[in-house]
Amino acid sequence: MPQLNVNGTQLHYQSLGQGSTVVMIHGLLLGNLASWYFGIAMQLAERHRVLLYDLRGHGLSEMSRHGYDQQTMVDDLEALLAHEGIGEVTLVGHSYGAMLAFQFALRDPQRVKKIVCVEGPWPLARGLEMDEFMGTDPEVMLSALPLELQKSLGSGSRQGRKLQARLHFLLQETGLLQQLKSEPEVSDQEWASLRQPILLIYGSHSKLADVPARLQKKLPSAQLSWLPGGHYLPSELPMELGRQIGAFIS
Amino acid sequence: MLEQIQESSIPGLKQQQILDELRDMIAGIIGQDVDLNDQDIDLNTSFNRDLELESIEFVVLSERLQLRYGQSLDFAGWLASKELQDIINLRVGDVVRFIEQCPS
Repeated sequence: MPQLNVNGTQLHYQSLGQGSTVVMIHGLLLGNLASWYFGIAMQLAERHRVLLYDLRGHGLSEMSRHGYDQQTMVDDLEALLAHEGIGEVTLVGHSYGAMLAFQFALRDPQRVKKIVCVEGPWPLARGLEMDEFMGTDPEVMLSALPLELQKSLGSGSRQGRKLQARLHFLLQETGLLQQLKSEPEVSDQEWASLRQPILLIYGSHSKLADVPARLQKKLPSAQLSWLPGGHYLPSELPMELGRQIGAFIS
Repeated sequence: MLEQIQESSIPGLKQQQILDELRDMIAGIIGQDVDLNDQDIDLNTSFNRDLELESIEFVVLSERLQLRYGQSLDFAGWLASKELQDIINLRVGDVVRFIEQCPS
């Protein structure tokens, strides 16, 4: 189980396949690298090196109490890439992970070949809306998941209890929520500076379905693709999502 | 259990041996968290319902299987071809049989 110590925090990552590097960044709270691993990452690994990692506080990375601001999270990714000796990358992010991909590209534009934004909340605070449950009862959060996932996490199960404990930790014992509310938004000038090919993928039933039209005003050359799902596309439609991402990055 | 032991296509690797190794791997992943003495892991044990494995723990199991059985075992690729519901419902025996039929 590969682990890397970044600024005092252990991060868990996995690497699959060979070729040009694709980094996949999961969303906050309910996500971890397993959101991508089966299905999507395996598909992409037939032609690419796919690097997946757990954000701090998520999956098998350390339950850090600090560092949930975007710039620290971009530092984490930078350190991981340096450790793996990776230069140029294509970034694929889901939800908050997509916004991190944009932040990384703004910091280091030369390194980023392409960006795939799956259900990125913009403005960032829209992510809070997704999680209307946020700061409330973890049980309610679970009900926001696709049905199949809910079944596997049935309340009272070990998986359900572990997820609840994690949500409690992230929401109550870290600065994550406060950080999300106070994070500066990407400015018009910053959006205009992004020159990479960008693919936006959104779920037609998602609460964020109005976001891509507004994003396209800032990113006029970005491609837009709709999938018949909600916010959790990596879990809901992994095969179709993998195909769309694969066609765009190859 | 004995009658389930068969010759495998991997020379020297029998179903029972694979099952024993898989048990050790599972114990290594969730042993600190779950009292496995209460759980007799056999071919019928469900990863989800009986062992209550998290998806991220499944990733680690997949990694360890690849390390143990080498590149010829594309466990994650095998899972990738399955629907989410099939993965959730996997039993230990499904994985044992998959390993058994892989070329060495």
